[in-house]
Amino acid sequence: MNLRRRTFIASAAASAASFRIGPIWAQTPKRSPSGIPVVAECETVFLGASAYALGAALKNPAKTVVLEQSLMLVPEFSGALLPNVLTAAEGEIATLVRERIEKEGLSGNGRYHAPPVSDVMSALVMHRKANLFLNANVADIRRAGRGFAVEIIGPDGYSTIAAERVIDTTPTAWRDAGAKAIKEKFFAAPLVGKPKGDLGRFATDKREVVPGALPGENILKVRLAADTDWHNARLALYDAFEKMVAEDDTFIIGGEATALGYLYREARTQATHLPGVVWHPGAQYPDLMNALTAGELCLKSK
Amino acid sequence: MLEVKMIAGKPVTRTVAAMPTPAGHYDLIVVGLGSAGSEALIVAAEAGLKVLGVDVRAAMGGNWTLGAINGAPKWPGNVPGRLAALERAAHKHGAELAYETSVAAAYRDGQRIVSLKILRNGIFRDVTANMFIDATGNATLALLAGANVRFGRVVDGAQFTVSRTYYVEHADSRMGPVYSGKCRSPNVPVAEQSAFATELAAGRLGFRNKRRVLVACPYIGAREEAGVETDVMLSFHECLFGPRCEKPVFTAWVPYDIHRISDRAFETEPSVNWEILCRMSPFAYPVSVPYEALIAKGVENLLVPSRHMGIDRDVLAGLRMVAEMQMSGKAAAAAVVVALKSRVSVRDVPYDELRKHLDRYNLARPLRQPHVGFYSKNEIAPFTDDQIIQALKRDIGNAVSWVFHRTPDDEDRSSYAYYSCWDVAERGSQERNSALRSKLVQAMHAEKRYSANYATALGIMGDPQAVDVLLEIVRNPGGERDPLVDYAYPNRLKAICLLGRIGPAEAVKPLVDIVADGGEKYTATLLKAKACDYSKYPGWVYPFDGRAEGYRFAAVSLAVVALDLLLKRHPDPGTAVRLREWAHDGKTAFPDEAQIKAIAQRLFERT
Repeated sequence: MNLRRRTFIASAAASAASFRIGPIWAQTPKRSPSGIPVVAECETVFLGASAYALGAALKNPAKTVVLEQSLMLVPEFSGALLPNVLTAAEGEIATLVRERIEKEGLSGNGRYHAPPVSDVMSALVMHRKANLFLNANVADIRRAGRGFAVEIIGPDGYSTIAAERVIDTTPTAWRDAGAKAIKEKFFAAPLVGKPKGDLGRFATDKREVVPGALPGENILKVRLAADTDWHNARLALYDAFEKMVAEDDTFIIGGEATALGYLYREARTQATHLPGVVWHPGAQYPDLMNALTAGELCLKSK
Repeated sequence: MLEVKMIAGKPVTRTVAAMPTPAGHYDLIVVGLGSAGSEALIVAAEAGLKVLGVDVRAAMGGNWTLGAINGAPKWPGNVPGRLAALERAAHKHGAELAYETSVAAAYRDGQRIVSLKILRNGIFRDVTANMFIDATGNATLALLAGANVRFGRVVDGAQFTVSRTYYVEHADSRMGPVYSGKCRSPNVPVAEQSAFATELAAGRLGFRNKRRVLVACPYIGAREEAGVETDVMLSFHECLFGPRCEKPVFTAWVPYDIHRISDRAFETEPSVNWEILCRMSPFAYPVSVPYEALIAKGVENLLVPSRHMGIDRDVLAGLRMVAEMQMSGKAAAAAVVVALKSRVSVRDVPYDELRKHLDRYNLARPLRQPHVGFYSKNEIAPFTDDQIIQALKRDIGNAVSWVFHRTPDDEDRSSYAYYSCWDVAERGSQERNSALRSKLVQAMHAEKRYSANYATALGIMGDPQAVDVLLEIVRNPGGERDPLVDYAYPNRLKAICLLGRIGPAEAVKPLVDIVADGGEKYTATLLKAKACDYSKYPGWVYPFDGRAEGYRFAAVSLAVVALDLLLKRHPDPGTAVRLREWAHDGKTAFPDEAQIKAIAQRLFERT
């Protein structure tokens, strides 16, 4: 049997998991002039599986496609661990998410337990038949007729999504065009153990320990410069941890955040770096419910 | 100069006048920073090479870190400890890292890779290097370099399963990984595959059960993705019976652990022998990986450690754990260091020089024992003929799996006896082969109670003297011959398989009957077998757990494969037509029969 990589991935949904979730994906992709297959056509393509993007996609599943570079959903709220405040839900999608979080016992103290929220969202993506492409690295965004051709690289190579509009919800914008809008970043890690006393005593201008949703849950948060990359974020986190543990060795780091956190200079950040492409970073929202609700409403006016 | 991109799953090549102006030049670029790639990066950087590491994720370590595999405290360091150690080592030795970065294209000059175009968040960068290591596990760079790549098993491209892990804190503050509710076969539709995540979200892990999820691992563990054709390919058969590589780059002691149980009929003959006929799950075997198994065939400057290295799919079933992948990465980097410092190509690396580097990391250490033995520490010496006969004189046991029962017992001795018969048939002297067969035949006739066991042993040796007893089993299954058993395959299932290999034309009819009624009658009495208490092993799913479907799936799938073999030896156009009709009729007698029929369509098309 002569299997090509794509056949293989399609039949096997390989581990690297180029998961194409949802009904919109073309069974027999069209070919663009460059030979790159057009695997889906939609009204709006969202870059980044942020809560803002998923709020819109869950509300309008037939019209949208979400592209995410990682395997995590709502990384700014699940992967980054913070902010984890559970506010009131206003929109339909936010209400669904909140109900599911509560049903799973993931909330407490006005907060939610962040890591499993990615899977809560994936359950809803499946249920609502939203269209999602994980492991998608956006290579190019081109004008094509009255819309856009978004070229991505996944585990099976290049593909194209044709869309009438593109909304970029990634933290730094495509090609890092929004990097200057970022005031600072942070990186977090859950702490495990029974520390002696209040961990608040470890707070400095570079680090703090904040409460989680579950009883006794503590999260170490390290503040970082706006241009910090993953490598340096990780080094900073472990340096901070070691300084704390030198004073109190009754706890350890129990993992690390799977997304960096972002703080923006403006309270409401939105820009157009590419003609016709709106950048609206999902990580700018102070909480999950607000981000979902804003996303839910964002296509209403279009 | 050729530019190669992956488009729609296929490398697409075009000629270009020149490669783009590079933004950086390195001694070595490592693509894929998982268990193998991260070690390769650090070893090479430590040796003073200028190295760039590229990965689509945002960290090193792959399954060892982002997948939280072997994350329990008994393993060295917890997940964040490992992440910190890798990051600090890269920092200390000056390795450059390109995270969240994909390889968009490769540039080739003849059989050399000269440059890569890499992509992060829409920003392309061209980088050149003298040497390349593809440690992606899915042959990303090897495909762009023009190497031949295999995907999944031959019959249908199915892979071993994938799994996802949560890293949790237990109520007592211990940390450890909790695997997903069950391993899923990747050979299911994408939609079902993505339901994987849904299952996790459905609270299977007991969020309310005093366990805190520290990390939902941002990585889905693969046991298999692709296999690159290398200068030397190491096969399972060769590991068991062939001459051992005397100049290995690393050695290992591995089980055969494919995590696909119900459809093992469709695996290779050695796999079927090991898993179905001999039930060797408590056992492991020694592997000596030759250096050439890391060199991508047809490419001058590409090494391919990690799970896509030059081993066949059966070896991959065991040689895929984190420790072995780390060894493969270290070995590849050591070879690059020697090649660059000696100014020779990767194919001309002198082993003596390489060995000095390998020994620094204790990679080519002496094997625990030179032959098949228990996976746990208990040793077992090769059986004599009399020990084989004695060990087969017993009921088939109720062994569950080495995963839970690591203490060898009598059941395992019978497994080893079957394996010994296979071993004698493969590489025993003519005299020993004849002597053992004649003792087995004698015992088969003398010990009616265990004649099926002896016939199975003879069948494994390919001896047609077993045929009468095997036919009798297939025509009248059950009774004392199959006292059976959870997890293991009973003699009636083994008999189907063996008749495919050595059976006469008369075997066709009873096997067609098994297929025609979906194995219902054939497996009915198995359901009365003693059931294992699976409540002790929550989350694990066995095919033979007392449910009819598991036994029926095994019987029908084994019969399909057996009939394919039989009809090649004994053509019977009428039966072939009937089987083709059955394969295409669209009906299913039990869940998953459609999967068997899909494969049967291909098999009987050519029959």
